Amino acid sequence: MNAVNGPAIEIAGLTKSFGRSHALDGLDLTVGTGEVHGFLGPNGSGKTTTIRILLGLLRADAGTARMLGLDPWQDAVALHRRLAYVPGDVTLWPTITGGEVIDLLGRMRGGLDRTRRDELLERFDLDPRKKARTYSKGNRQKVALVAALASHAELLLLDEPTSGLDPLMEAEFQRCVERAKQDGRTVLLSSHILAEVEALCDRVSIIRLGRTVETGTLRELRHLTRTSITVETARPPAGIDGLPGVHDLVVDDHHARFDVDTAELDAVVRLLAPLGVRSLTSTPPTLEEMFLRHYGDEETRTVPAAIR
Amino acid sequence: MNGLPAALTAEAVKSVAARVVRAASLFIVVGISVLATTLTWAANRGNEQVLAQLGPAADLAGWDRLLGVAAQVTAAGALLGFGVVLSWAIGREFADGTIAGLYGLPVSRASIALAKLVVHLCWTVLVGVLLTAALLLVGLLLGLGPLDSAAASGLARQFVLTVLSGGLALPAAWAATLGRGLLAGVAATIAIIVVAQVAVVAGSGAWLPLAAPALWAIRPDSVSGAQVALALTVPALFTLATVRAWRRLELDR
Repeated sequence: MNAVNGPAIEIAGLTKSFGRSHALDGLDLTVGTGEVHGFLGPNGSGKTTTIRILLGLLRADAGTARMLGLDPWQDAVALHRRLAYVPGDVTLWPTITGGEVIDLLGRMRGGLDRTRRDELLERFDLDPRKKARTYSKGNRQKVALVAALASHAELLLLDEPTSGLDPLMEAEFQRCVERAKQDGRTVLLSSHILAEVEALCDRVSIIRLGRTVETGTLRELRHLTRTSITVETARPPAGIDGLPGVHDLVVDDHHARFDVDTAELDAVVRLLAPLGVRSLTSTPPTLEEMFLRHYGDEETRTVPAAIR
Repeated sequence: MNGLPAALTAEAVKSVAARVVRAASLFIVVGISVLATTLTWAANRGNEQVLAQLGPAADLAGWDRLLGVAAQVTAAGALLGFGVVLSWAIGREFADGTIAGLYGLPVSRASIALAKLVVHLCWTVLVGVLLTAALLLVGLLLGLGPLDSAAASGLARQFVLTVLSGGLALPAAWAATLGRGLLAGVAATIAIIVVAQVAVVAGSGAWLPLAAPALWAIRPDSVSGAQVALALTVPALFTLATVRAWRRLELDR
């Protein structure tokens, strides 16, 4: 593997329009070398456009994109020797077998690890002797995954790679990405499956309308959001509603349930302790909650007051 | 060119496995042979309707008549077959969505396009050999006489015409690239055939690169070497145009 100084992917102020539609509107993204980076956003947020620019399939209108220190458009061939790409909807040449597709892609990428290829075929339970036209969507996805994971690529660009895979195969995929990380590879994982991102990713970037709206480790992102608290106290839990950062408070006799901004957690604990805490459950927000909350808030903000 | 050998291998594997290519090969080789045989046999038996349809080939006899009829059918039929397959080879990558994966490989787009055209050329040469061999067999079976030097020259011209027809279909590759699909290539192929036929009927075919090879194959004395050579400009220009279009192509629709 070639050594990379600095981030594996570095994008700043990237813009891309298709006619009057703005797919990317000043997107920033940094993916460190050896990191598994989750790339999240709803449909149409610009994830695939970003990946297409990184692959040199599109040219950005403005901004800069560097991958492994090279320019995705100018140095596409050199870069593609060092990366493997799995799209969300894999299409294969129908009249050749899955094994032939894997070998063809491997040959074009400068060779693949045949032992690893056979191991992956077994792991993903894929019959490589069948013509590609007979494969289901999930099996087509497996062909692309085996070709990518058996390659010597140091960077994996995975654009919703597990769509169509059943839960067992998804678990296999997660093990493969963990191994890729152990091998020092960098992974950019665009996914709708937030549990998958939560399980695999070191850092996450959330994009909306072509802009990065959040980026950081899951711990950092959780810090920006709310923790759910359910508490039972010896004395009635009075005074919680007066604390800053408390939301959706429901008090029922000696029980209270509420969300609190993580930054205000300390004040809540100090107020509850003298009340005689009998039980307390604190649930950090899942990535899904963070995602939905963020988009829920955004949508609320963008809907005119008259129709809200 | 970056990755040309790998791209050639990939395109060859895809073409060998493709039903479209096999069906088109059968259509061109067997279809043209059967049509030429039937028409020649009917003309030899004095069928007036067929003789009226054969045009200049009606005045010929023996091997010349068979090869003249074959050249007429090849000029339209082979060109159609080659154009459709070339349109499919390019257009299907866009229509099936395989283009994104193809562009994600460490092979330059120019190499991919060139590999497709080189594989097409190899296929046209193979079809040319098979069609020429089939016509030789037909001539012997019809009892057209021994294979003299004139007949051998006629068969050689038939081979050259078949390969040149493959080259004349190259605008289909360019059109399929710009249109990002099969239909634009097929439309370009039909346009080439129509233009060539109209030029021949209008009597100006010798100077039209799209029509000169067929006229030369039927009546070699009616077309000069320079006029036949001019036909090579079509594949040359459209190879450059197609490779350039692939090099500049963005997947923005």
